[in-house]
Amino acid sequence: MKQTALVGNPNCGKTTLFNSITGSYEYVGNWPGVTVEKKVGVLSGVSEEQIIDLPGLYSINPVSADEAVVTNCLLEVPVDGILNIVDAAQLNRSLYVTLQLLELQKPMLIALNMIDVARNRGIKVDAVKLAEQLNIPVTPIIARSGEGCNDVKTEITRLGGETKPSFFIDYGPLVEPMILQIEKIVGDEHTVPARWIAIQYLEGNAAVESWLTVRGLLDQLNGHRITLEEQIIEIQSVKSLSQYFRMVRSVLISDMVQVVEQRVNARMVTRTQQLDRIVTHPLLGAPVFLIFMFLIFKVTFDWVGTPLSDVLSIWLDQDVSPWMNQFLISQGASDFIIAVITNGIISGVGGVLVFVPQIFLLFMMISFIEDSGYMARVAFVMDRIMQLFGLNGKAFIPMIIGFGCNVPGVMAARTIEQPRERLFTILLTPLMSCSARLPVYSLFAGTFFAANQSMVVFSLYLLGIIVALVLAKVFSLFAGVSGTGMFFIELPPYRVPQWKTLWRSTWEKGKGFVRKAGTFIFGGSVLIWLLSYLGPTGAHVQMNESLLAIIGGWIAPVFAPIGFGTWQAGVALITGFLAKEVVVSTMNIIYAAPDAGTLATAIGQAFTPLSAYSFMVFVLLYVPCLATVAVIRKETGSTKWTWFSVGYALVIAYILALVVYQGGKLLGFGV
Amino acid sequence: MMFLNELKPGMKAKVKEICIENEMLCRRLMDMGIAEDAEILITCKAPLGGPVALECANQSICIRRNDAACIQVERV
Ligand SMILES: Nc1nc2c(ncn2[C@@H]2O[C@H](COP(=O)(O)OP(=O)(O)OP(=O)(O)O)[C@@H](O)[C@H]2O)c(=O)[nH]1
Ligand SMILES: [Mg+2]
Repeated sequence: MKQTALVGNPNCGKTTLFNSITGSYEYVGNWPGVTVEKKVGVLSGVSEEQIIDLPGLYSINPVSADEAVVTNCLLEVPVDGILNIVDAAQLNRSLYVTLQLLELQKPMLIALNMIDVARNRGIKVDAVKLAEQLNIPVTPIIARSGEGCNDVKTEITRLGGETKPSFFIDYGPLVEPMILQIEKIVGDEHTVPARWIAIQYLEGNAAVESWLTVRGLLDQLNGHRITLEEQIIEIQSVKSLSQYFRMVRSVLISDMVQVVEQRVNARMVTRTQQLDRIVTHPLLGAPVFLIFMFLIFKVTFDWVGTPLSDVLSIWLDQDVSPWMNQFLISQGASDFIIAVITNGIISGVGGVLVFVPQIFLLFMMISFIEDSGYMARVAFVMDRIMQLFGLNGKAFIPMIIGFGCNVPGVMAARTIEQPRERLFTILLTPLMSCSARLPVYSLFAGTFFAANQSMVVFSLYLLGIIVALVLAKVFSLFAGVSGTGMFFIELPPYRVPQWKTLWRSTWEKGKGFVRKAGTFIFGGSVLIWLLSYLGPTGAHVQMNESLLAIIGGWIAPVFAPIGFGTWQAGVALITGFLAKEVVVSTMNIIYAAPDAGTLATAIGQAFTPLSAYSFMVFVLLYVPCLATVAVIRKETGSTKWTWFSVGYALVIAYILALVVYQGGKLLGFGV
Repeated sequence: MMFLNELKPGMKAKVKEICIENEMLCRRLMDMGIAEDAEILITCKAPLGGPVALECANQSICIRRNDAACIQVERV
């Protein structure tokens, strides 16, 4: 098994190339920081060639958590080769990473990507000359269209063996002896050469420092850097040692670029610049964003999504259900089996599956935003507001992703550099109304607020954002830090999303929902149905005397003050912790609703409009779902914060639902 | 003496000195090639003291205005 790691700047097309050569469907999007985790694939057709896709990085010395993933991977995983993606339109910057990678002395090849973008800007990069300069293979490609990807595949299979790159940068008479000294201390039994460790250490690479600490080597090195830094500052006109390293490399790179790059004509105004004049316009920017969000919303709930879901729901009730019943009877199935299937599974799973069209539409529009390049602009437009609440504009990216699903949203927070801002973003992203909550809204808003359904649902989405922002402020006040935050983001050029990518990323996201229906919701439905079928006195009891009613009855009183003290609501909320759409499945089963119409009627009797709204507010805010809790645990690495995320959500949900219900009653909405 | 935040959209300038305290941001800017003598074009300023978008060597990046105020420039 041979492993090749894909390394390069953020947003230079690593994942696009990875997908193309391994036949995978990893997450692609047009903003820096889409991939935040290591992903492994196999070169299609060549099972012994493993490819590792990594997050992007601006420099080997990591600033954010996603960059640290790359440096740590290079330090820990003994990869056999490196596939470095170089953005032809950003040659200077890309080569900076390239040089540091070459110092790893591993077999390496370059995929020179984005040559179409470079060409449009009048930049021509000579791949042959670049290969000569660096002494490694260089393949020009357009990852997006697949052009040249096959050549990359061939080169990968050829990579390795004895041919190690003979690349060497001489850092001058002052630094070299120090590098040698450190090399001796570090020793050369590691996955990376001692020289590389020495250089990175001298530059102040934090990941390398902790690598050294783990091995008990850092203490022995401490004096070295300080003395050298003093000398360098004195002799060279630099401010720090790391700046010196940068200078040496930059000189090399400029020389190289002179040889390999040709600028044909001066640039005209690009389409990106034209679009940005509107989208990031001082006055229009924010309204454009809001209109965008509102349109997405209208399409999902009003214009396209709901009608499609209704069609599906009718089909399920009028065709599938009766047909299944007939079929089971004809097969001589027992009453028990028929009941499990029709009352348990079809009600539970089917009741959630009817929302597939809405959810896929929502995912498709989120994918469109992701792949167009608009995401980074949103961060720019929103930064000022977010700053008021102690976050930064980049926190909006996890939140938008969170509207689809909170799990990738929480992970996307990795690109936020400041640890505190990242933590808050992780804790607050679950307040974004994800697609799993959509069935709950559809059901309740459809039943009680049919006339202005989309406004009611929109209010819930807004409520989620507002609560998140207010809490961000509260958290920052409690954390007691007012210090300066940090905001930095690169605006990529706009790209028209390709249908293929759009469809794939929609499917990859939506798949999760369908899969949940087949696992969690399926299992949950069967369990709920069984609990409603069994009672203390035996099987096939009245629903109100079932085990389920007893369990729900225990916690029902807690919910009485917020408007829904029934055992049914209690049970639905408990099971909703698995995944929020289970709330709907459970209600389908316990109100024994053969179809959507009856469920609406049953709910119409159990709730008032006011308690229904209170219920929706509660579902929006109360505890993140199981998968989200797991990912919060992973991303914060702290059990304390994980419990906190569950706890604060419960408290806030209860308080707000209480305000809604009791306040509403006072105002006379209670009837 | 002039600082980056004082420039209006459409203005070009050359970086004289960067005195940003936040070390992470400093490094990011360096990685992007924003160092002494780099040429910068201001493309957009968000309202109400929001961030500044600028172009440098064909890349478009955003930083906050208070950070821009720590970059000394010279108009060209
Ligand atoms: N025009 C053009 N666009 C490309 C090319 N390669 C990739 N893209 C687009 O560039 C964007 C970024 O692609 P990704 O594959 O997500 O980039 P990445 O390097 O994995 O990005 P991160 O994971 O954020 O570091 C997507 O919108 C791609 O469609 C190319 O050769 N030409
Ligand atoms: Mg990627």
